[in-house]
Amino acid sequence: MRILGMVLLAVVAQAGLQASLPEAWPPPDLWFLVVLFIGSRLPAWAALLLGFGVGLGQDLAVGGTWGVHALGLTLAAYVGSELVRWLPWEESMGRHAILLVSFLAKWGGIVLILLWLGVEISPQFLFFQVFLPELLLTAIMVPIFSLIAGQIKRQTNRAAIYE
Amino acid sequence: MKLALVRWLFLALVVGCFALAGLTNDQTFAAEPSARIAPIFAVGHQVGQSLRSAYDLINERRDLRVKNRILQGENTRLASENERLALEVGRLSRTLAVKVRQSQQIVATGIVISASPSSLYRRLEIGLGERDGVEEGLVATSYAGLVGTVVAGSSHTATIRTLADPESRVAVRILGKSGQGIGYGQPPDRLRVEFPPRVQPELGDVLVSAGGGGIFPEGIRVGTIVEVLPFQDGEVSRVAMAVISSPLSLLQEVVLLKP
Repeated sequence: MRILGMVLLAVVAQAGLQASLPEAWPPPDLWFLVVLFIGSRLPAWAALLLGFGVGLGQDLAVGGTWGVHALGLTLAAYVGSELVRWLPWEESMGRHAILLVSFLAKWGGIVLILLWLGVEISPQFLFFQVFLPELLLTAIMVPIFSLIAGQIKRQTNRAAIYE
Repeated sequence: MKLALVRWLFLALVVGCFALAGLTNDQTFAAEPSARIAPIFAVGHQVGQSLRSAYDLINERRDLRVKNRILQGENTRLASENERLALEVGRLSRTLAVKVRQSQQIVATGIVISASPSSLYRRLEIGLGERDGVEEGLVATSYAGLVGTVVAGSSHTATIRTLADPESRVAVRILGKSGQGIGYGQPPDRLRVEFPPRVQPELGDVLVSAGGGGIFPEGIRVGTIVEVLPFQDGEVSRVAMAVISSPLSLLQEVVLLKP
């Protein structure tokens, strides 16, 4: 229930950010951050299903071809769950490295499926106008997500002690 | 063992994604759920749009105050201002003529309730649906120019695929020049336009819809060329980048026309 609530909150926030940013700026990818932050606390199989589910939800919400964002977020969740075994998610450096590589995996998946579908889009334009600004804006949102995740974890621990 | 299961699950999901994409590519039913769940995003979208409008308004007011001070001290500029106004009247008269022509085709005016939550796809949801006579294929325009086309809808809402969407195509011509090209959507706010080699696009050229049997009516403003890519001998087309005239994320309402 809490996972569904966080996903819904991120979705509404994403719509708000998209409308409030200037025309030429893509919004930060809060769907991606939700998958990675929640997925880091789940078993790998559950993180994969979460990535696929949230990605499919994004595809349905967007109204484009289904499977594009689903593949991106499934790849991101897979890479994230593999890296969590080697890098410390609890430390800032480790978390940022996991997020960066997972973000690259997400876009790798999206580009792959766009190429497979034969969508004509300029690679340079995609890199400079969509990928790079989205990466920067998503990076700005990471501390906020870390803060919220930390608060939730503290509350969960406190509840466990009282029980 | 557990690791192997996770990898098999991953492979199955990847194959599933490709299968879904293959089945739903260019299918209109793929856009239908978007229209139905649009209200979820509407709250965030309205809040964001209000914040952006407030910010723009504050900036605009600041600019106006500065401009007003300058104008008070420069009475001599009134003469040139009059000339500018005369030109503006001419431009507005031409715009009005286009509006009158378009008004015969107007189906409805819809309020924008939400935008697609993706940096790749650029779609808008409007608060009109099948019960209001909105159907697939209607053309959406705004005060600034062409917006896109209706691709799906429910009884109360409809989805508009904007010109910046990567699945969007529009036939365009340069205002005042001959020959036409095809504009491909380049998110977040541009078109990549391919012209035949004999057409010479230049910076600042205004693009309008070419009509010619397509779904978009002829002569509606589409955008302005902001970059012309270098043309090499032997290439089959000249490529230019254009900024779309309609401010997609600031639109509050769109006018729907019959194609």
